[in-house]
Amino acid sequence: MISLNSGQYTYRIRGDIASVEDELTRLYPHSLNHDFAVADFDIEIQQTSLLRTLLRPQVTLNIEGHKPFNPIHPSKLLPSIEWAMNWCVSAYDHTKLLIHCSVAVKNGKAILFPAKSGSGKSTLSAYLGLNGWHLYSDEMAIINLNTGYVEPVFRPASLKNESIEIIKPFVQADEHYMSRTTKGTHKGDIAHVRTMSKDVFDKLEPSKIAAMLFLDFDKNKRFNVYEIDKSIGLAKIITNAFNYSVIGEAAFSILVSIVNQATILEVSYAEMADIKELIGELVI
Amino acid sequence: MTPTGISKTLFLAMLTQKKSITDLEPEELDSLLRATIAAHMHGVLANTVDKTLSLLLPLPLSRHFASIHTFSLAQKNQVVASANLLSAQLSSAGIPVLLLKGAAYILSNKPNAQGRLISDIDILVQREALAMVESTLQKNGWRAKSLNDYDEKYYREWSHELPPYIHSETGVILDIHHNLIPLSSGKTINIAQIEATKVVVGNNLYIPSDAYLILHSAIHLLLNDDTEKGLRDCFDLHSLIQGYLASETLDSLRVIFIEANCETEFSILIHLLNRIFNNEYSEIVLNGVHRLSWHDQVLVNSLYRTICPRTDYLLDNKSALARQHVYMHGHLSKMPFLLFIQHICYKGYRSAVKRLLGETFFKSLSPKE
Repeated sequence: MISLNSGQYTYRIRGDIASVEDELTRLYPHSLNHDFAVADFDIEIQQTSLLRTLLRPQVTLNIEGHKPFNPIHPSKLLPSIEWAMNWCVSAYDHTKLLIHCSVAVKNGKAILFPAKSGSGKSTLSAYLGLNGWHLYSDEMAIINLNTGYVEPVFRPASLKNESIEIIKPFVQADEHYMSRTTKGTHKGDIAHVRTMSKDVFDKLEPSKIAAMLFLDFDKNKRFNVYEIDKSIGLAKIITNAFNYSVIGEAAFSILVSIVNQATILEVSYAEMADIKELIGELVI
Repeated sequence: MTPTGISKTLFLAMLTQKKSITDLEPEELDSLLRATIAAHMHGVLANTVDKTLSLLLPLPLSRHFASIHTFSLAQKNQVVASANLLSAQLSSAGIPVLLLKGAAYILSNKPNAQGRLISDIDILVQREALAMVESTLQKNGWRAKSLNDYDEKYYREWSHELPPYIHSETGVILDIHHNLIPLSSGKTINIAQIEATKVVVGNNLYIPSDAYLILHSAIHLLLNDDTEKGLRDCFDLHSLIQGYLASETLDSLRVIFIEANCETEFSILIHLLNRIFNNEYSEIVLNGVHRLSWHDQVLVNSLYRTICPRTDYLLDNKSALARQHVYMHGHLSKMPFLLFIQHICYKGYRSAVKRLLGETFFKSLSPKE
């Protein structure tokens, strides 16, 4: 049994964790085995069947009595645990507005990159996190409904397929760590990368949202930036919110105030360095 | 290392508010939270804790409670909106919308609707109107969920409801019942009587009278092979019966059960509730009117032992035999013996395959499942 603290939520992970314990220790330094009697979420690794235990073994994740994912081979457990941790938050926390995007912060100003599959969001956020920005989250913006500020979470970024090799050269400092690659998951090959130390994380503060960038990655396109209308920006960000319809009015109000103060851009790009330069200007 | 866990007695004492949440140790609070989430009851627990008190609890509890509070409000809005949508769609075909279970409790603001989670909306329509209802819904954004051939046949031939419908925009799931009890059970409820005594809760929106709400919930609990949400049913029943007794007597309720050929079920229910709710029914039970046969006493015991969710956080709650008993009883009450044998052969084969080859074996064979 492992107790894991993501800085925002506490998880209890039970069952046969031997195959992932080492990697979790490296991805979450000073965050494991903090003894807490009460956890936010409970994740249990279970064997699926009698015969499978002997022949082609499979495990399944039981999250608070739910099994939202298909069973997997025990060697593919690490990414599944990460996905389960995300699932817990989006399924059970409606006290914060949750938006499917990555969040990079500098000078106390946050940039949101709402997700679109293939937009290169994860690659970009890992790159930024390893190059002078603070990655508040690779998966979802956790927004305080009273302040409209985005809160940091101590979780690694998730990388797929060719992104792993692209990012590897930037993993240099002691505070960085890239996990081993899990091959052949339903999303392809997956690795996780930690972009900061626990000490750095502990000093992070909730941050004001300065901009939202809707990304379009295309190797053959020129770098192009459009500012988009606030009302369209609002509509687009709502489609990326996990629990907008659950929270209702309070979510609408806070998003209106966020959108009114933020720069909203649509960006097509081929080079991550171009984005880095652009957003550098947005947080001065 | 395994979780500490709490006893079932303590778990029930917390839900029935016989003990204050502030009396618990942190480890007990954790087990309580885990077990109530598994029982789909954390909304009900949250509802027993007032806001100021909740802030004194460890963050995971206060956060889960605040979150489920927001979620139940959203759910209530969605149920009301869906009921109004159905009302408008079906009124054009001249069909009244008679809501059942969770949706009925929410639309009539019953005390047990507070914090109660529901997974679908149930309505009751007359059997003759089924074709009309289906075609009207299909023209208005609802589509039937696809099932495998066996399950489709089960619904159409033996069940008391149609295969579930799903709304293409909202994702709301709709169960259309034409009876409260499976056709194969041999019992039939007087639907005309339910229609005649229905209560208005909105424009073209109705719910059954309290007595029939209770009867339906009891049938759902007792003639079911799966007690996964059994505890929630018991809390509904207790609350509905307490409300009913404010103006009626238990005897008049019993008459409704007798008319439905469910007299034994009535006695079993009262005995079960008496055990769960700290002997609140003991006067009624003790006066001998509802004496149970030894077999039914065993059944009450099995139900009591399976009513709480299977989780490592609840101690003394792993009775496989009791679960098997409830499973057999639920099936045998729903269908004649021969059909039961046929049914368990099919389901048993699938369950054996799943145990050997894994839960998702059939999913990979048929994308429909």
